[in-house]
Amino acid sequence: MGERAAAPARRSKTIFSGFSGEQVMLAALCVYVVGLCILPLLRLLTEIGTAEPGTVADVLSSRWTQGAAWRTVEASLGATVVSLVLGVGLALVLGLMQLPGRAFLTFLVLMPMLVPAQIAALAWLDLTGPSSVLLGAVGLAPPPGTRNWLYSREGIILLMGIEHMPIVFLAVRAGLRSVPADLVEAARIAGASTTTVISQIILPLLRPTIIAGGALAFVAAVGNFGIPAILGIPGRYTMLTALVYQRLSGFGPSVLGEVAVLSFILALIAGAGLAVQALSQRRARVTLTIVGGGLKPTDAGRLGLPVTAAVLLVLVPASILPLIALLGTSFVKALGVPLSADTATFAHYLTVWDNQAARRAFVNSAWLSLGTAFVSLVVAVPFAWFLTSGRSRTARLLDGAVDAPYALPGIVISIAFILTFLRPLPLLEVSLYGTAGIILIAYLARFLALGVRPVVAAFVAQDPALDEAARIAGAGALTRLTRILLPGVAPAAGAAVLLIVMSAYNELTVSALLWSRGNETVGVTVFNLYDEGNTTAAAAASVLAVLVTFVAAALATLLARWLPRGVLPWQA
Amino acid sequence: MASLTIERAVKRFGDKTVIDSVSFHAADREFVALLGPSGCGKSTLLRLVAGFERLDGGEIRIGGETVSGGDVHVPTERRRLGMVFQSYALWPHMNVTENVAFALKVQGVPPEERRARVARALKTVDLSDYAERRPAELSGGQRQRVALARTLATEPRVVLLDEPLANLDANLREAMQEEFRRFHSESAATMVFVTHDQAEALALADRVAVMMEGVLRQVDRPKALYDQPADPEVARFIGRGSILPVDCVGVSNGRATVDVAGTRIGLRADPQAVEGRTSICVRPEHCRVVAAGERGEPGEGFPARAKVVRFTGPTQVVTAILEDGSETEVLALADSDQHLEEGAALRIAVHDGWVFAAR
Amino acid sequence: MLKKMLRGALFAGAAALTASAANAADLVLYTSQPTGQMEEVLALFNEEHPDIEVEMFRSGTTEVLNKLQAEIAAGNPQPDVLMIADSVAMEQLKGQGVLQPYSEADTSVLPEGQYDPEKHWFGTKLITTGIIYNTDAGVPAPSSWKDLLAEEAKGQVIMPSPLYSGAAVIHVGTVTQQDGMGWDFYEALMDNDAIAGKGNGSVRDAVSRGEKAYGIIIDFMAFAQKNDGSPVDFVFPAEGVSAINQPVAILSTAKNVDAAKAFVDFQLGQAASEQAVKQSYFPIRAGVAAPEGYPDPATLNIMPLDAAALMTSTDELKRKFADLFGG
Repeated sequence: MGERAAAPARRSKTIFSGFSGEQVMLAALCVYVVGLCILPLLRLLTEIGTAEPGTVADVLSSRWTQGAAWRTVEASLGATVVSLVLGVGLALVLGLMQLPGRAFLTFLVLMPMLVPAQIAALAWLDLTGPSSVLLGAVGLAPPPGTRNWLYSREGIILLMGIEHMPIVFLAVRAGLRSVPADLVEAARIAGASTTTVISQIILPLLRPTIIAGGALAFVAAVGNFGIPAILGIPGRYTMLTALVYQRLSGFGPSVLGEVAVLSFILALIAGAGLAVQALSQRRARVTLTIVGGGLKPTDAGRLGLPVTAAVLLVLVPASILPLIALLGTSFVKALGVPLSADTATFAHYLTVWDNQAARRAFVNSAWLSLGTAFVSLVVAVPFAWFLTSGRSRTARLLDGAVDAPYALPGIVISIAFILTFLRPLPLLEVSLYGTAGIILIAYLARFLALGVRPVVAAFVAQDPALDEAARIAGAGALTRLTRILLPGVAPAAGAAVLLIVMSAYNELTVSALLWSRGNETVGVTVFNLYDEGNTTAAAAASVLAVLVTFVAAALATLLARWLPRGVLPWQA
Repeated sequence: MASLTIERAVKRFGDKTVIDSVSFHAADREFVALLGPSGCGKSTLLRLVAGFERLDGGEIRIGGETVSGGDVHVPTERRRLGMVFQSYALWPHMNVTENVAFALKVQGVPPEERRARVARALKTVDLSDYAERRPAELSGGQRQRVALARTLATEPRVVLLDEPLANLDANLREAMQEEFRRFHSESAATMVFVTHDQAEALALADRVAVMMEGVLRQVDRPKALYDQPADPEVARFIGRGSILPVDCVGVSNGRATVDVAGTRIGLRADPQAVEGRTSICVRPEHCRVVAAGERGEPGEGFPARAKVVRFTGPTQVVTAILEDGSETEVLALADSDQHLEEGAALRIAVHDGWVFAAR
Repeated sequence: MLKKMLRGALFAGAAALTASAANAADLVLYTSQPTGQMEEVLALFNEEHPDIEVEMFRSGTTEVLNKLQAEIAAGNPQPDVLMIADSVAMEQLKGQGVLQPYSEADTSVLPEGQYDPEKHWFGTKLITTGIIYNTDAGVPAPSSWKDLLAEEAKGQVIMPSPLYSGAAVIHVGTVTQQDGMGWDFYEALMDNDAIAGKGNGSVRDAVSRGEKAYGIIIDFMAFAQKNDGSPVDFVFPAEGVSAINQPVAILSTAKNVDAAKAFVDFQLGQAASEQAVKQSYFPIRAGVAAPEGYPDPATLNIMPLDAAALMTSTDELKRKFADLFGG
């Protein structure tokens, strides 16, 4: 930094005398990242470190802690297997074959990603329960008195497996594209059939990628809250996220020390998954270095239609039917009453509209997600620049910190933020807890990575000579950033905004513990409506929430031609 | 171990015809180079033979069996070919032995025989000591030798080589050319070698097929290609031929007399060459700069003006401008001790050249 | 200088955020009564007091209380008025000094025991906990708590969790105090594969959906569901029911005490009581008749409860329950 500060500032417009604009910017970024991404997690650690001696041992030795930890691992591993089977299979089929309607099929594959976990759980319950509008219509509904089998380990595994399947799918699809095409051609020349090529060449080559994708799906399952909460609690299959929530809502702040320990266990399990992911990712990068072109889908020929049909047979029940069931429930007069033209009603939508808290939630989530996206972007662009231009070792040190709040389970983040911000802030004598502020800053921490990653990728892709030429021309840091570099990363930044808004809008895991009166989020509203037994209104609110996401996705698709390829995951 | 016949092959990508009615025959055990500038369609032709792409017209036969054409499209894996890739295409997750053994395993060769054939193939390319290495632990040349061994072990009918030397540095390339010649004689396979490097093609192949813009321009032995190019473009591509516009004033017995910038020269001629406006191809080694001061003496070459003079050691390479107002450039050699100044007038004597049929 | 600027920015940001949360509303109410009902209640309240804007936060009693405790810990208790399931919790809050007395409240219409003699809290309606069952499920109609332990009920019983519902705290507290039931009854329920849902709503849903044949539930929820056409019915078991009285109270930190008092007065008044009856509640106010089809409240067999004993042991109760049912 020294030589830059010493450089004659004839043309640089330094506002802060004594500091260069660059230094001030870097200092502000450090404060931001350390304050949001590191301090709260450190606070969580100190809480455990300073807890009463008995607490940690008590929590660790409790039957329910051990059970929940085991169930978290068990169900997450099971869900990972489901995600892997579905994700790898679909990625192979869609990545290797030119099927009719491929873009639509890809959208269906990624749909579980657009539907938040709690809504997916509700939708599946509506689909498969004895009062299922859909199954009832075809006379296949289970008889009353039948316990919905989704309230079980297997149900949780299936739903989490489907929910996180897109993670594996996207990883494997990207991996497929980086498999050099001639490796496959060489195998064909050698006389290998399609199955041999897949089993002996493609899958072994993709193994690190598949493991990395699976590890990510595992981490997502470990942190999943919506599905374990809605299926696991009634199913007596309590996982760690649900246990943290239950303990906190059942016993109040007096058990903060206990739940800190629980969330630390949760973080450890997720951390193990992340370590596997990081290792495999590194290996994947070593194995796959493209010389020629990457694998491209080939003409499916006569197999096209049958394969498409088979893919639909998997995707329609996984992606579409639950949403239709949800829609059905949102229109039915009362649960158990069959849906017909006579019994259909808009009443539940009016209920949601009349419900102050619900109405407010849609507004809150909108400004929270937009605000998070905006602030994150303002931070992400200069941060990514410091990171990629290699001019700041400090920024690189903070790089990992940016990922932590996104990678770790949301419940861990919210506990860390409660611990940090429950007490009034030192200088201001106000507590952020119980305000929208705590949700906003928790979101800022959690989703910063979503803003930084695409922008970093864009900077990396940019020719460093652009920046160097501007420096030769005497442009200062701010000038270079705004005039030279920003235009190049604008599309990636736009994509980042979109990703953050779509993730934050329906977010539940973080806000479940942080919301307060007046500061409800959409996720919380759906969950609470369901929780208080208003399933039909919960369905109506869910339909509206999903609608918002889909509209955002549709808008993004309309904008797609101004975005670089690959920004929208559903565009093949 | 089989001939390769391509008849009126057509391949289109969208509106663009990239292979335009190409016909070509490689005899059993022949080593044919497919030479052309990048983007000329030579790799596509190779991929059509391999079966990676489908024909839009025409036919491809291997050893008399139609593999592409009409409704027939034998999948690649059943064509019993060998292929060597520019990128080597070694499977990074397998070691050297596994790479070589893969095809044999897929073809159901029994383990005993498999081991023997792998060992033999590795010995042929001198890589027996590297059997357990992974591709990542090998140098570029070693990797390409593994690729060769992999092809050798399968005893293919036809071996396709797609710019196999393009990724190697110049020294290694020559050594590998030797390797390929040995490989050809030992495998006794028909080989089709795609390259954009004319020196490589001329050095290696029995015959060279020159392809430009999807069309085969000339298929001939290297010497014939060099001495008797089919048209000026082939001549420019093969060797550094200078193409000069001339008036043909007399044709007889495979020779023609042409007028170059007012000087008459007798040269070899295309059998179809006739009197009138045409062009000739002269190679630098056949053009000598004679003393600039001795102007006006007939038979001592045509007048030109030096544009660039490059000293190369044994000789000087002179880029000269023909003194006929056409601004045509011609390359000629001069003795290294000859004093030449850029811009100076000089004369160029031509010993040999080729007169094209007028087009 | 940087520090000063940062501090300024932080302060402005925090002020803006806290302001947006603490904005405007004249009266902040924390309650456990279902949202749909509360919207009607507040509409009626605003007919009497159009000038008072009420902000409401609704969740299960246990959760409401924990939210409140967290706010107290953060030094920022939000509500003016609290209306939760049971008086035991109110007594605990009173002991904690969180409530303020409202000595002018008109308690003449309330039976003794349904309000705090020191006027810190006032019962608003009577809610009993009995058994709901699905009439389509082909199981025998229950008449006793013990029927939930029968073979036909194996894996077919769902109940609310005291970790969420205040009514459930009282119910578990009451049942475990009864001779012949006690914790043994809950252990037997666990052995019979009964499960704990969250609130009473989850019980109502599971039974209406037919996922469970039987549920332990507060009365009005079952009746309301039955009236909506769901195939369910409600039973007052022979041993008796547990009862709560949905008390209302004013916080000592209330910012708008007058509005809070107006709300308490409204809750104790005739109009609110009649509305509660329409919402399928037993009324607590003298002279208001029970909803149609309900037994006379006077004939209800209510199991005795030692509130003082329960008061000191709710945490232990919740832990025991959590140990059995994980909820």
